[in-house]
Amino acid sequence: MKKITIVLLLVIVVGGYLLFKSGSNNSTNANNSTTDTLGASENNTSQNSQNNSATTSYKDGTYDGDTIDAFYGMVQVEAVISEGKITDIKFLQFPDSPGHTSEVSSQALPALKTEAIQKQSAPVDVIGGATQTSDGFNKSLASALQKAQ
Amino acid sequence: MKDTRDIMGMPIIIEVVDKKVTPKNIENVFEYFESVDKRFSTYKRDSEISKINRNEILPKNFSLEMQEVFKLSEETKKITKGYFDIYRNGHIDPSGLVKGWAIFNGAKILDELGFENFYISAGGDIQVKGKNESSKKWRIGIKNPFNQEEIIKIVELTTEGIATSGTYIRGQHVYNPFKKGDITDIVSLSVIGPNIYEADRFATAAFAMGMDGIKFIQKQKNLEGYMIDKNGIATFTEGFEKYVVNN
Repeated sequence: MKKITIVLLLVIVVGGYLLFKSGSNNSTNANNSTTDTLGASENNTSQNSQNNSATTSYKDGTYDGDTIDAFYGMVQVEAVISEGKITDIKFLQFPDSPGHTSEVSSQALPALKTEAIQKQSAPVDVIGGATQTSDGFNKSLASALQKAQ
Repeated sequence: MKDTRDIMGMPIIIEVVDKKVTPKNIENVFEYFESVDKRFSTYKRDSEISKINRNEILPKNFSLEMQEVFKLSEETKKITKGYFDIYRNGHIDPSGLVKGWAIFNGAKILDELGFENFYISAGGDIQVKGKNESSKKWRIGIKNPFNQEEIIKIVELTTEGIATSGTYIRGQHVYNPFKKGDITDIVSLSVIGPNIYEADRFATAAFAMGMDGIKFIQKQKNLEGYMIDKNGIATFTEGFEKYVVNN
């Protein structure tokens, strides 16, 4: 029933890098979606630390963020810091959805078309898509990182 | 004039093109969304829906808004053969309907103020009216469910609503909200309807049907759909094409 989507990687990479105050040498265009990406990309990490030696470094440890009401559910994250960097972010709470048990009706199939999705580059006024709860994520992560300072 | 506010845990974007618009007009709509959040959030202890779930309010004392949402939910459940259901384990959660309904009502507020050209977007579900700043149809990009920085379809709308239902994506796992732990075949379903309320409730219900969701949309009058599976293959209704802008 909940129709929200989180793409963790995007939020983590964007949020994480913003919070790192780095982002100088690396695009957020990572090619896989694991929460380990930040810690795993050693080259970037070491480069970042060189470029940003003057910026904030977090104390090592595991920090729980606040539980944030995201309307569709409560969001709470835990940030793991090692060597002053975020190495993992886990969801302690995440909005879940109810199970649906009804049978799918088997009726005659109307004609439908198919295609492979393709990137579009023309300008648009507004973007649609199932994406939200990022705000709850960001707030919870921010509060976790505050504790890490 | 355009403004964004985080309400109900998601960004609400309002743009009104009409020259006479004032910040107060837009504020009215944000206030409306805030009132909806207060009343319908199942995560706020003092919301009306939470009180109802604790049996603290008798049905005869429900607010008119709550009665309306219950009525609409009941009707939607019937049309969708039970796929849309706000009741589970004795708990009531109308969130799946409230968002589209709230955008629809927000647009009505702008209508009643006499505005002809605007859109309201709440968490990626959008109601448009009239034309954009360049006096052209509103152009809406549909996000790539695999890469949130990309759009994979552009549609032009003038009075319709477009809603997208998707899975949670946790790390690299695609999470089907309707069948815990399963990797789903469908990652995204966008529905264009005569208004956002219709688009949203049917997108929600049809998404729960999995691969059959797009067939369900095809059977509904005035609804068009664009479904994306886990391999990046889209299946769409013939009528959807008339909205599509080609690069």
